[in-house]
Amino acid sequence: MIPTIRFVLVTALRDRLFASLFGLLAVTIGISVFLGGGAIMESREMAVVYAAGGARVFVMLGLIVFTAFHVERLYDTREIEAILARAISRESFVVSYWTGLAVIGILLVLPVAVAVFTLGLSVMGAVYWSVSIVLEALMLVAFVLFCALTMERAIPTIFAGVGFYVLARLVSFLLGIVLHGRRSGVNEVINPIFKFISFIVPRLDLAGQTRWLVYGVETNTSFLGLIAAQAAIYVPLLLLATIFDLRRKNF
Amino acid sequence: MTRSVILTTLLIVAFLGQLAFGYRISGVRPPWEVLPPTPSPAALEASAFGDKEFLYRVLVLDLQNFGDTGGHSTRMADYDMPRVVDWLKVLDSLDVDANHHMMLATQYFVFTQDLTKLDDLIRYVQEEVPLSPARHWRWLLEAVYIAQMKRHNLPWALELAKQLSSYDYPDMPIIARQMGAFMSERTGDYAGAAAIMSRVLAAHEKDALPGEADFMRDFIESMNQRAAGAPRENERGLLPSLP
Repeated sequence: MIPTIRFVLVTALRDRLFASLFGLLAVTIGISVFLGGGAIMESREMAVVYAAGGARVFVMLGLIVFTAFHVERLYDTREIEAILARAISRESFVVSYWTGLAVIGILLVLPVAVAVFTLGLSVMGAVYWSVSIVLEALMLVAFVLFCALTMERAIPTIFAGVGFYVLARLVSFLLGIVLHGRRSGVNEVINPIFKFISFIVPRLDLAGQTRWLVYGVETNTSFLGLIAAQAAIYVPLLLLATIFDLRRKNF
Repeated sequence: MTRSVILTTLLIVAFLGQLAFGYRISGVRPPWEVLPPTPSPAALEASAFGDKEFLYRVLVLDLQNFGDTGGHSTRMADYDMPRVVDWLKVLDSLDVDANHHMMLATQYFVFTQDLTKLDDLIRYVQEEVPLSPARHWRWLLEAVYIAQMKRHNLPWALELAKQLSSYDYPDMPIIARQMGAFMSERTGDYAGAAAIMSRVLAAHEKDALPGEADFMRDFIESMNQRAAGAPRENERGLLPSLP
């Protein structure tokens, strides 16, 4: 398991994932501080919210793109067959791959966490935010790994990953339409579908609330427990689905 | 060779065509409006992607800069103030506790040359502060000033001052708590002024500075005397008369 995790990390280094993404995050944070300076009031609040909100999206997109292309290369060079030909079970392969990607996700969130600790106005808020983003990254890489190993190609994996991420962050909006929108006509069919979708898509709209960075953690907005529980259910679910699919493949 | 010449010629023609087209449309500008209409609640919810605070910070910066981008600059009087208030309410729905949009309402858009438009802003502040009084009481001070000094509407300034005096938060300076008393005195409601100041004195006598406490006692006595019909020259002139 350790060699596979190391392999994933070395590949990330070789692809210059950290260098390029750290550079992008530095630019994002710099631009955020600059934009914050343009506000006539609450400059610091603006800077930290822009930095956190922007960096979060770039980290997730970076994980999606890296995972998609990395797994595609595994299939193209048939490295995956070479790995599975060794004495490593498919279960171990999937779990160790996810662990390697999870470590990458945590390493990518680290500089963002440092930035929000520095810029933010609430230490506890920064802790909550950083932990929630890590949990979000863990769920996202599990989903993207599932798509990548199933579809074997980078482009549909990226589309699926981005679409999943957008959908997961729009769940509260969809639920709002289901609960308060029109209930007649075509909505009679669509509303139950969206409700079912909201049951199976993780509630990433509850994670990464930049309000925590400005006002601290208020009782009615502290969703960290929910997000942790969500990750504890969703990651094993996706890993099991990935293992199930990989076992069906013949290499 | 001929093919190469044809391709090179076509490339040059295409490039010159682009230059000519770019020159021709260089004066074209997209339609521009000072202040766009506000998005619907559903559009806001979708745009937020679950992070309303982020959307608040984006939109409040937009509101700050509306009318002054793309080489344009706009007179304050040309802003549609009801629409400005709509935008402020949109921002309330995203983060009711933030102060940036309150500052725009009381210290930015108030510089309109058309003073009648200030009424919309004063009304907005009056209605908004109760939504988050612990963080927004200070903006009532601005509203009192605007109502009194710019709109010369003393009854409205009194209403706002009484609203301010009704709050009791630890970070409020004593003058904010006393404002209702001062404005009552200005409108001739001496009994009301004494009542408000008495309430402030009872609640804060121990933590007020000695001079402040003496001032409040003196004020209450003066107001009670004037309420009883005593002439003005029997007291110290506490406040100059209004223009």
